[in-house]
Amino acid sequence: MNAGRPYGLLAELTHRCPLHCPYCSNPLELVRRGDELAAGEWVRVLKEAAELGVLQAGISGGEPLLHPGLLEIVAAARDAGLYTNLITSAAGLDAALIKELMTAGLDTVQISFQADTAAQADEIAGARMHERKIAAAEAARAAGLPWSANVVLHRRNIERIGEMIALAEGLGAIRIELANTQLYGWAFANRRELLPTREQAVRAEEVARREAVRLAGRMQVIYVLPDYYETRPKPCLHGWGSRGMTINPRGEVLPCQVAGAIPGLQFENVRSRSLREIWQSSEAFNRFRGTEWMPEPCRSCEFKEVDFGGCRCQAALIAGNAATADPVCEFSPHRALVDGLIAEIEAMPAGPPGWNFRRETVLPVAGR
Amino acid sequence: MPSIENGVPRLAAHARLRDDPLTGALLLLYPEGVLELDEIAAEIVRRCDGQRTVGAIAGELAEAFEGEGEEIARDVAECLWDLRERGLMQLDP
Repeated sequence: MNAGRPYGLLAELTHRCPLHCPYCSNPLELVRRGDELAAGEWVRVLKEAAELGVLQAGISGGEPLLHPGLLEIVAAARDAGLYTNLITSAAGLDAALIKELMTAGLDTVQISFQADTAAQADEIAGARMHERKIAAAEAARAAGLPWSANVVLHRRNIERIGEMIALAEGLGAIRIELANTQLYGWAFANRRELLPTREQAVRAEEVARREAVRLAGRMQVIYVLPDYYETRPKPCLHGWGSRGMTINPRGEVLPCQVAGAIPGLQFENVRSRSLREIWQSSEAFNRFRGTEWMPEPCRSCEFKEVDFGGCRCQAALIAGNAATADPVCEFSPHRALVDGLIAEIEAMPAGPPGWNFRRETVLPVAGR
Repeated sequence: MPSIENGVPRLAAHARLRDDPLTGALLLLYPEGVLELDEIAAEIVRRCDGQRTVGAIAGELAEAFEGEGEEIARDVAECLWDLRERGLMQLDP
């Protein structure tokens, strides 16, 4: 199988995190601290990634600030020429650390916000964090470190999208990404509590579009619709194993951060093989590369090179088969499962959220 | 698009130029994205040093490529305005 060149690497330094967001993109089975790659291993991997053609490194987690080798890892990414973005909850990000990170060569920082008010944000995060995030954003701006805001949208906060944009604008963000929850992992377990109604999603999109025009050239506004409300699937990863990869805290290399949701897929580890070998020839990366794996209706579909059959993980989670069309697609034989979930949540009464917070030891209840 | 001939473009703080080690092309990197600049765009962006005006950059390019001045001035302005709209270039009319 002909592997192209990867552009991006998401480095999950740790799964440890002081927040407990019910839509966490980490897998349900979190990697233990003792299994985490050490700084020296990341340094080697980042160099290998750059040689393979990677241009962007996202330093993520969990909370990457909890990894003891963070500064060394950031410096290694930058030394390898990578555009280096720290993706953080901002817990522990103060002026002194910002200065050290900038000296190490960090290009930009992305700070997550859960909502625009402390009351709601702290409730969603399951921790008192909102005011500390604001202080961190102010410190980044004061230091001249460009920062982006990232907000995961869901039924409980999506109607405050205008206020969230105003918050980021007031704090001098260069960019705000307002992404509806991707329903995998912890979020899939909590999907009935997270998916907004269609009306909410459409209204939020209107606000985002208007604000994007108003702020053009000053702050980029990106809105990602919940894909359950699309008729065609997202071009997930621009095709499996095509442009990027994720390395989890214990060194396993995944086509995307939630690919562990696909049963039976074995991920190879940077501790035992080179990144180049894993990217080019591992079974996990080649499984859904290109279009050969596709069954009908994808195989003869005129859009197969446009959306690549959508998302393999979503097919696995909803249809129970990763090698089938993304059930979001209007041509999928499983679209009724998505419509059924939408009908279910549209009929749900308003009330306090019944979601399961991310915990280290407790697995969420799937369904109710 | 307003007239920007006298504007002084400067790359945004979060945008970084580098050569692609695999292809040799000039790349403009920014959060979550990369632009591969073609030869002309590369010549333009390399000159955005916070000193030269848009008009001066167009003048230099017209000379270097022995092209038609007005057409090059238009191309330069359009390229820089597009980068400004993407938030990658600081440029006031």
